[in-house]
Amino acid sequence: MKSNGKAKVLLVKHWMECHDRGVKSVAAILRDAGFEVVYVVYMSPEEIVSAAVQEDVDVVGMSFSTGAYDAHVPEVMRLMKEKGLHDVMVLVGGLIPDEDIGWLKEQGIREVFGAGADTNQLIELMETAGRK
Amino acid sequence: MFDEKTLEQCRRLMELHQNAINERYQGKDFSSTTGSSGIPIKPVYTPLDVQDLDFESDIGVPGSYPYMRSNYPLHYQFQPWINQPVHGYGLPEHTRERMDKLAGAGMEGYFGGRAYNIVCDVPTHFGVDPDEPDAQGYIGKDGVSCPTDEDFGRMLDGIDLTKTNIVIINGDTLPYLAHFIVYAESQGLTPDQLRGNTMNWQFGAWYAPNHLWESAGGLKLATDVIYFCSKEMPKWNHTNIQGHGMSETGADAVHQMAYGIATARAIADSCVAAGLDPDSFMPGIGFQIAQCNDFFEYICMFRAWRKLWATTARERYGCKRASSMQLRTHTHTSCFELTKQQPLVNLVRSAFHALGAALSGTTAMEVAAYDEPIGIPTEESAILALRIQQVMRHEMGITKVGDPLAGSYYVEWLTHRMEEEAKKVLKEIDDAGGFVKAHKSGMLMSTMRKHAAEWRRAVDSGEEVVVGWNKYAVPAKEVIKPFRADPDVARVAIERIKEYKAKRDQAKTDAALNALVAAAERLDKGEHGHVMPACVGAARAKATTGEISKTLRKVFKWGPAYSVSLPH
Repeated sequence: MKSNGKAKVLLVKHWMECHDRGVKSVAAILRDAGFEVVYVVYMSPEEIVSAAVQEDVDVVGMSFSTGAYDAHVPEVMRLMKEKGLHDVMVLVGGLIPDEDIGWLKEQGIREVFGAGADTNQLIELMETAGRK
Repeated sequence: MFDEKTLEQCRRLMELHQNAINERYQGKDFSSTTGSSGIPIKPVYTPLDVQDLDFESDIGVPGSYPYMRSNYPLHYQFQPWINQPVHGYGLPEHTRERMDKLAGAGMEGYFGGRAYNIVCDVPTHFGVDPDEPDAQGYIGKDGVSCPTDEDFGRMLDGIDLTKTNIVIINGDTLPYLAHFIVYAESQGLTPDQLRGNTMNWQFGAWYAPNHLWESAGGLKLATDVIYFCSKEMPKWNHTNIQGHGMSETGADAVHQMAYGIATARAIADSCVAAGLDPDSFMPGIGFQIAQCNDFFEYICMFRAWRKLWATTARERYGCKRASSMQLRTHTHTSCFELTKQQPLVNLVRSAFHALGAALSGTTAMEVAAYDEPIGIPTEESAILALRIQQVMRHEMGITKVGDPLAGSYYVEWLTHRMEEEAKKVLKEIDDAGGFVKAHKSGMLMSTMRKHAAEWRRAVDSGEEVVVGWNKYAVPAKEVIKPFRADPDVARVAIERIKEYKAKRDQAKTDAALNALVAAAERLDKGEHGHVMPACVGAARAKATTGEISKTLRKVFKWGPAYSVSLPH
């Protein structure tokens, strides 16, 4: 958590991903709102979890433009549990078909912010994070 | 262009016009609007705004240098733009189904020919084979998984490659072109018979987290592709400079044009330094151009771009061939301005973008499908996007007159202004030490990121209206079904690549890859002409695109993958 009491967030995108304009916009929006943002392009789910530990973040935001969340999200959630990161809120963003949102939440994803998501809703949720 | 009498009339009438505004709107100021590149726009234009332009050198007629109005004296009257919808998903045979559907729906090239604009999946883009861990989750998802010559066979079987343009959208061009050539050889063809387009984006996947090759090495590889094509593949368009990619990253119209030309200049400079005659390679350089919301600005950008490219070709490179000076363009209508909310509204947006492109005189066109913010296009949405092109061509009457907006005081003024603004940006790049330095330092990327962040802030504040998203929003009525490729794609692609490797003569493959390392080392020292032939040799010896790519990485640096700058 930052000294201003706001959450620290790790935004991640796999190196095989295509478009990253969305996640970069989210980074700008969150910085504008006073959150500390770290961005990592990862090659394996392990890298996300070790970055989350190392950076001591309150939130992890995973961005997908290519639908690989089916392969990556369960693995990341499993590794986070294994490392004891129970309090870290995990969000997903990007090109996410509505019909997959339920499945993502079943995996433990707190919320999905896809194309055209409401910035204020994202910020409101972020305000609740990090108050451990 | 106007006599003093006309200009005097303009001054008098504009005074009356201002008086009428003051009277009718009580002095309210309407003059503070700007275009999407930040250029101030006035409510009305007259001959006064274009009085300093010279008709011959600044406007001219279609088909004459500097080609601002059109590449050709007659264009759509004679040869309408090429339908070039991007398609690709799943396994090669799945993509073939879409190719056949589009062909059946009337997708046409020049003179009844056809161009298939095939996009690879991201692993194939970056030289990662389906059996590698990094590819998992990404195989055949947003493009076709096609890592070998055999896969080309599954996709292109029975298609006459001497009469059909094959456009291959792939990042790491060398291994991929090599496998295409080896497939063509299996059909009894030689490289000089092949027609189509590679991207040659060795350092320019602007919108992706990975940028492929480091700038200087990427430029050497790009040059080697051109060196090979200019000698062996005269009908092949080797290079397609990203404009749309820059636009999707955040570039406005001025920066899209300027950065596009800066990229092309860097490549052309490198080719000249490698000893190539500009007229041998300039016709093979084309541009992929985004047509976005600001209707007139993007049309004017397009016209200015043609002129700027023609003058660059003639003045900077001494080109003599018309085709070296003519801007070959593939329009890609805007995607970042499409919405997931009320997605059918995207059909309306894309139709306007496409109309802008047609009025600009583009030579080929991809119209985005309405469901792109949800996934890759379904068969229905892909064909609807093609129908936009067909309605424009056959029903709107817009193909009758070349450059129909020419002579509009506004359009001519703005075209000239776009050219001047782009020249300023090109000078900034020169002042920063040239394109490669500006690319490496992140200067170009940070400007694009800044624009993207500003755009999003304007949308969030409501200053930038997006219909159905931040205005006229309604609760979603139904869940739009995304297109999904066959779930078995990854398993089959992995089996195939394993089988491909298992049945080859490994000693031959190893020898060919060793020869490639030697060729790459020569290129790194500045000796051109060996790497692309060595890639073809490796493909003949059944080294996969992934293996060829990784072999090149022994010599050339990959990146900057992980030093991506965040927006300010």
